[in-house]
Amino acid sequence: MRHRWIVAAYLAVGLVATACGDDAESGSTADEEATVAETTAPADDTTEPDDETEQEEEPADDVSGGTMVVAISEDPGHFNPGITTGFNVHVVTGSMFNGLVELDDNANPLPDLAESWEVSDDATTYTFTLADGVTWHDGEPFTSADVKFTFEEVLLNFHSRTKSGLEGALASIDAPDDQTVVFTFSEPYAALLQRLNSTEAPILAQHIYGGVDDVQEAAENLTPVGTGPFMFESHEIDSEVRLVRNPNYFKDGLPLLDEVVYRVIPDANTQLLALEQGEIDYLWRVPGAELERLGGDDAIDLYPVNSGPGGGFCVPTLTFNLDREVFDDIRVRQAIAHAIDRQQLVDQAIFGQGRAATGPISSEMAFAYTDDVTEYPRDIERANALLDDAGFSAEGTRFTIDLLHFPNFSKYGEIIRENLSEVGIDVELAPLDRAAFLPRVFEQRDFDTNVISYCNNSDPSIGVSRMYLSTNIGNIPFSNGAGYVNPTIDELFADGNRTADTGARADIYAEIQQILVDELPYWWLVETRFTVGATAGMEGLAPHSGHFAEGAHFVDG
Amino acid sequence: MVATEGGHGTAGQVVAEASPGTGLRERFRTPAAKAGLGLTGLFCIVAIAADLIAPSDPFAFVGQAFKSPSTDHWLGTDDLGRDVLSGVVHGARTSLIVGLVVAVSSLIIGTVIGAAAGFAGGWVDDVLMRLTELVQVMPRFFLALMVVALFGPGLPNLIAVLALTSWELIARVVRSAVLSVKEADFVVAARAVGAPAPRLLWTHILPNAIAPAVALAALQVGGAILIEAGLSFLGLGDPNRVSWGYMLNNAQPFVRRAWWLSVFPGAAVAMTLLGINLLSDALSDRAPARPPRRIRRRFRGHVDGPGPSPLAEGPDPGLDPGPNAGSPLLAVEELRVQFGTDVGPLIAVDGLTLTIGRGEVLGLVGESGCGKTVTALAIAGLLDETTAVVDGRVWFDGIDLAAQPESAMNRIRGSRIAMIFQEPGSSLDPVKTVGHQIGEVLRRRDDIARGQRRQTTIDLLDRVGIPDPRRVVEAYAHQLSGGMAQRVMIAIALAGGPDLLIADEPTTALDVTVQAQILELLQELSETEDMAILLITHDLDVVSEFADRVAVMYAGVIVEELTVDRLGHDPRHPYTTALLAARPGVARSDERLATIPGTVPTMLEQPAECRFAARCGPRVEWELSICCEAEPALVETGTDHSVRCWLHQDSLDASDT
Amino acid sequence: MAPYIVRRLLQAIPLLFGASTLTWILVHLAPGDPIVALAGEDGNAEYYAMMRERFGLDRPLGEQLVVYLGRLVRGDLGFSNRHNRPAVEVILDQLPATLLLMVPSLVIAALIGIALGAVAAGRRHTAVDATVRTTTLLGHAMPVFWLSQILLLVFAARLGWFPVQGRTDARANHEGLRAAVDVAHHMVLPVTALVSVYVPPIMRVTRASMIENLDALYIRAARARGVSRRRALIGHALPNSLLPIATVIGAQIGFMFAGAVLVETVFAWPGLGTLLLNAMLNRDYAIITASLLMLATTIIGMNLVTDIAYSVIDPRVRHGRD
Repeated sequence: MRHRWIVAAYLAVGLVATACGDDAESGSTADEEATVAETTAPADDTTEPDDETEQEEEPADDVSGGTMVVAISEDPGHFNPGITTGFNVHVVTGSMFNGLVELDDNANPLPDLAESWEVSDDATTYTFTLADGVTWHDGEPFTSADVKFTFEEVLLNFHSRTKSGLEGALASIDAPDDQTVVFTFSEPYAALLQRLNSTEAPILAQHIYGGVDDVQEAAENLTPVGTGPFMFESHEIDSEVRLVRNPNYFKDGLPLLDEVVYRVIPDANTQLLALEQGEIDYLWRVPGAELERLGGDDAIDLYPVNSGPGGGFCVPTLTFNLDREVFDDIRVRQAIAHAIDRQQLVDQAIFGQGRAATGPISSEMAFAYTDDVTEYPRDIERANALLDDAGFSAEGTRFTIDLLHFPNFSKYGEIIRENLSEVGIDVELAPLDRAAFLPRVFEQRDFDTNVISYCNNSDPSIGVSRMYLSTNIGNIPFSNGAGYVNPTIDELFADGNRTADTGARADIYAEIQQILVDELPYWWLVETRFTVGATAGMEGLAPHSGHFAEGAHFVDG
Repeated sequence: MVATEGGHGTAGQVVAEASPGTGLRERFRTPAAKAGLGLTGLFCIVAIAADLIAPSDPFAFVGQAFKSPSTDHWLGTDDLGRDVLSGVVHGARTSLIVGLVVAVSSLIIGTVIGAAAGFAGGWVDDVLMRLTELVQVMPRFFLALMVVALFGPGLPNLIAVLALTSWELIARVVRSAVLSVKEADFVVAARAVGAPAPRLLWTHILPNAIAPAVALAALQVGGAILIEAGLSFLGLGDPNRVSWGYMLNNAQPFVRRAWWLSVFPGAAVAMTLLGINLLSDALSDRAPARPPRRIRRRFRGHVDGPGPSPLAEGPDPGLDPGPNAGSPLLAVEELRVQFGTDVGPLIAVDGLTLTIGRGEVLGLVGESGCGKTVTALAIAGLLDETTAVVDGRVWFDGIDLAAQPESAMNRIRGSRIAMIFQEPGSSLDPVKTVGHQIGEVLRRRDDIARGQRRQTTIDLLDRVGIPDPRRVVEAYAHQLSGGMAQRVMIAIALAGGPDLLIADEPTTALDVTVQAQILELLQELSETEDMAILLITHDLDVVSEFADRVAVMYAGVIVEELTVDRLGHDPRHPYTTALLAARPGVARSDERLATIPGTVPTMLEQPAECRFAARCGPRVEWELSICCEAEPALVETGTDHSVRCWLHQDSLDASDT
Repeated sequence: MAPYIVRRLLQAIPLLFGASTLTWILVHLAPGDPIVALAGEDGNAEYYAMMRERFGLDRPLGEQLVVYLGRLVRGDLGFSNRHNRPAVEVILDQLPATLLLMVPSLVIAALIGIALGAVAAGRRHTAVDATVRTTTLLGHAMPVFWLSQILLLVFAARLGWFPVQGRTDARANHEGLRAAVDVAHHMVLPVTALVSVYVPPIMRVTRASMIENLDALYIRAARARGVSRRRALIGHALPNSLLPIATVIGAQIGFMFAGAVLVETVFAWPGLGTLLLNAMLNRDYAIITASLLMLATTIIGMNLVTDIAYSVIDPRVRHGRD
């Protein structure tokens, strides 16, 4: 049981923020991709936090406070983490707010505002005991009423992911006393703990927002009052957000830094230069092109990670629009799979930060992953033969398709275009910004193919099934863009959700992978990782988490 | 192409008008223009022949990634192993397409809207002009940014938005051209006889308006290239066509790893824009051609060589006529002025010699283009050294003016030699007050204290007969009538207390009644101030009334010099007699020279014959052959009377000029 | 003068309305809406429908436009949900930073451009002239973002003379003079980049205008009364050239903002450019329409200022309007 929990929690890492910006080269993280939408698997067991994963080690004595400067690509705009899943907001508010639980770098739930919790055997009742002596930044005491208020009045109305994930399943939230919160579900709901960290369910102050007419336009959103390790100090739009140490933080000895300053630096090159010149200390994404050079730089530490506030276990994927006649024939899709040089994508699009994918589930999600699937190695001859068989003449151009992508996925586009030109397929690239991309693909379905980096996140039921369920076709961002309909698959995913036993679930997901790879509604290109860069000599960083700065400190010498 | 000198021609205009090559070829003679032409030409050739020049498809992965420039890939390869040279070459084509489409469509839209607005007038004009203003206030780059960001990056979108926003200036230019042509006589006439409007527009109006519009449209090419590059930098480029912006954007992550990825496309943008700009500069530059260096050097050496050093304290003692009362105030010796042109040096003044005594009024008379004004400017040292070559000597009160350094000349001008000009209104700085301009002279006078200057100014204005001097001190040129302005100019001239006033056609542009007043004023001042005047005019009436002596000038030389008395009863040179005969008795200057057939010749080389021979009545009548074989010398034929004519040469062997 | 200004201001109103309407239509016709950027992903259809209704985006475009124009008439430029503040406030907050960059750049560029233009005109068709023209043209021909990056690589990365990004040092809490010095230090590179963009048009119009004026008769007359070549150039030709120069500067204000956008992006300078760019990517309609309205206002204002400057500098205009 414990093993299963570790895995589940590990997978939950991906939930920390909205967009998994594992974009290969540009540092702009907010742009790219999708995370999760589904309800999580029901679980029927009670789980305690893992004893092996404890809080941050107590810092050494030679720790000094100091200021950590963090580069961000875009201004957050406001600081209410309860009304948005936007990365730009959460990357800042993560340091000012807490969730009920926190996740460690293996995604195990850790106490945060909740000191401990109990889950009923049928996973329908979660009882949280809140930490003692927690105060808001303005000195007001934190109580269970804040939790209840936050969920009922804010998160379940305005937090897109929490609303869509919990609204139907959650029966009630009760606060029997100041220290206790009880979540009751109408049916088993196993993955609640994965939805309770500071990014997914930040707890807001009732005394601040209780009297506000319109939470979405409240002036209070600009002067956040949280319980977190750092307190809001100042904000200059497009320039910086300045947070200072919360001296009354309820976790002993934390935080260690005096200040955290978020610097808005839009250009990726400038971000890196600033890190190299020591003007900033922390960079969420080191441009892949520069990794090799930075590897030899003693002044910078690199942290390769597979997940983070941008998402986790991401698989940039080519979507075939199955409504388009040209893709009716599976041989066409197979030919394209054979024609695309995925090793080249690994080498030149993501600069070796990852590997070629094999199917819909990332190998990082070990329990559900199988490599026992049909392979489509790079094989131009085979691709040509398949296309010939499908009736597309080899004379000149066989056919032309468009390929939609976010602007910073252009490298994928360029490589695929060139790969496919070798088999006589013309590709028109159509880079579209996110706001234009989403309705075109998911609402109008006006595209032939597209590339999106879909993140598996914490569980196949969260990050994987959304792409394949026939019920998930339509105007929902990052849903079933292929328009794939297969009742067997629908049924298998449902089984996966209902099944508690990890081994049994693995079998189900293996079958799913085999069917999908055979049917190729999508072609899964690569599994991506990314690299965080930080000033050498920093310790206690948690790059996977919204609380990345909670325990961070500079070490003298 | 015949006049060597306009009535008020500057040296620049002289050259410009005289240069037979002023045209496209002329404009492209400077190195900058050639460079512009070369770069633009190269750009066009590369763009058109991209398929032939590029070693490979710009999108094809033809080599290893990140190969620095080598013999295999001259400009290296990029991160995907694509040939950079091929990219740069095909990028030129994209740039050309974008630029041309934008330029042509903005030209069409702008011309149609401008022509419609200008021709139709009324509410159509109003509406269209409001539309034009609307486009003007919508910042182009932001509109482009918006359209491309919102509707998706793609050259068609970009081209559309640029074309739709860059016609505004063209429309304005076309409209104003149409407006100005619309009222022109020939159009009014054509309309009067019932020519239909569209045809009028097409045949008469547009051809006049189209040239500046085309020039503006050409500049759009460069603008479009820059905007495309800027948008690509922001990640909003079109990935389906190689453009320089696309390459620059692609190079961004590798700036430090592979310099060649950004340097070559960047250089391509820079060079192309440089070329287009130089070209458009050359097309729109109104500045005159400069003299070929070869000529300038030759003449300068001649001037500088034997003359006294500019720093010499005084005039050369050997030649010094001395400042004694008997010597002339001004002695011009063998003055020669040439302007460099395409076809060789153009001779404007050819060995002119004259003298003026103290307080004397010398009339210098001749037709337009004979070199009078150039002579005056040469005396005052005001010819532009970069276009004119001056040779000979000008002695002023014992000082060799040619040998004076610029600073000394500045002191002499204004304080000892003053000038007034034909167009007094234009000779006053439009944005400075009269008082300021008089003050510029007074300021340098030690004998007038700062506090007295204003009073002195008022006195001076009063002196030249200005009715309300206190008001006029604060006045600007546009507030003065022509006569008043000339009086102001005279006041400025007087301010320095000059010994010599050079008056270059001082009354030509004025009303007849005012002319007389001004001339009387000058005469009076000459007497009261003991001021010599070099009175340059084409009007013999003026001369005979106001001058003491007369020098008649023709084609760069003096042909006759005599006292006013003798002019009345004994003019000898056929040109002088022709001028006198052409006088209708009443003053209408432009009618009278019509009776001398022909015009003053343009001299590109020294003539071997008499300069007037072609127009000379007596020569034709008497069939003199010598006139066409050698040039006569200026010889003294009597007291205070010299003539340059074969009819009046005492000895026929004096043909050594 | 006053009635003239009032008349001009009145004329500007329909123009501004036209510009705002055009921008509004353009922005709303574009695919996509601000919801996902604003609220986030992974909601369900109901959620997005609710949000669209919440922001009035489910109404017909015509109705939305009427609402917008109605507010505009009352001086309400809209609310930026991304920044959770009225758009005007946000823009006014960011304006000083952009001006801090643009104004010194413009002043320096004007000084350099006019000086170079005067020199080039005074020595036209000499080697000096050619050098000045080619150098400034190169400045014009170089994409400004490219130049900015080169400046960064050379002066910030390699030589370490100047900071890489931002308006202040993130770590230091300077006050008073030291804060000013800090800001100035951060300004050097972006201002240099902007100056290189601003100088060429100013230089060119100065040169052309000076040449025209140097050929004018009043210059010859001034020289004839002993005014030195230099003084004639500076004291007479230059004042007469200031009008076209002012016009060019006024007309280029949009172009100058464009340069500022690119420079701000490279140097992470927190100004209007960055704001507008992000507003577009996030479909922050209020900010986009309000910024462009403000830009249009600035351009109209600059034209007006130029015209007023005309009448200050040029007595002919001054007296003509009395």
